[in-house]
Amino acid sequence: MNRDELRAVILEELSCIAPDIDSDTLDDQARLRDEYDLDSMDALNLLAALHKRVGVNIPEADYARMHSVSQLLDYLEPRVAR
Amino acid sequence: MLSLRQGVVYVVRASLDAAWPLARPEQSLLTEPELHGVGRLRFPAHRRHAARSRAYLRSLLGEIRREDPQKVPIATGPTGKPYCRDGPAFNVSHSGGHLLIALSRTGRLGVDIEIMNELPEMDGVMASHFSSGERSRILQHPPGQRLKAFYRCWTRKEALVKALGGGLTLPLHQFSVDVDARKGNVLLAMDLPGTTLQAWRILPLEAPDGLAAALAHDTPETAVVELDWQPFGSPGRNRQAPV
Repeated sequence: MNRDELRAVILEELSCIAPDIDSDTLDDQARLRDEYDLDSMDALNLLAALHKRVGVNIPEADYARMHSVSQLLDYLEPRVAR
Repeated sequence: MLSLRQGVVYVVRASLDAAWPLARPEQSLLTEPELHGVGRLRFPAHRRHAARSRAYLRSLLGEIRREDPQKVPIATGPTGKPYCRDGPAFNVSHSGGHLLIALSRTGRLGVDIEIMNELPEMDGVMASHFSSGERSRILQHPPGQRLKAFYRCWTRKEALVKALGGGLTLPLHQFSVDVDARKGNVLLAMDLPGTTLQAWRILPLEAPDGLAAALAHDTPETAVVELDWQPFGSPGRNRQAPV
């Protein structure tokens, strides 16, 4: 799975959790909590969905590194089986 | 004038979608950085809820501290938890247009309210973040009742996480709550480092239909008082629950 494919998966799961978000106009750098009002439960749902879709388990200690789509991509891309 | 009594935890409720009840517009209660933060939110409803949450908080803190609400010095801790250096202790949660503000003279507080939306990844979140006892208790409910049980569990755990200020990096499965009790202390077990079972209380809170709510605190209190801001324009009707 390349970065574009991974981004598409993230946006698909994000749109299930936060349907208000328009994935066509989403800024990858935007902090999801600060700009799209995602709360803790939204975040856990997103990470659980990504675990299921791409097979990467994200330990709690790494949660603080994932505030945006861009940061999710940076974390997941090297860990996803190609 | 709201005056906090020692040994009492107050929970103030307000509707974020009702008419603004104060003479002073909510925007005028916020600081420039707060207005900037609200402005970063992309959706109007999120901006309204964020602005009003902070405005209600500032209004309450201003009354308690007897100072201009806009000048109340709200700082942010290393994990992002807001606080007033010289008190009172407070914590805020809002969901679905419903706001809860917990206040006490001393101690640590966490409050959480959640609208019980469907959760596509409920099983995954439970597997990763709930204790085995919590998971098995939730799964004992009929399928149609599991979502409510999940949210009761989640708000109770999130309230403690917010009180501790550690965010989601805390290992949530290292403490357990009673999923089903509707009153009294629901904290059952505590293995988080640096704290004890005896130090904390987690209490279910009343919530409108479709929402779940809980409070966590380490105040050696005698009572929790729940106040409705609406419809009186200032905190009015109250329910007192000795614990």
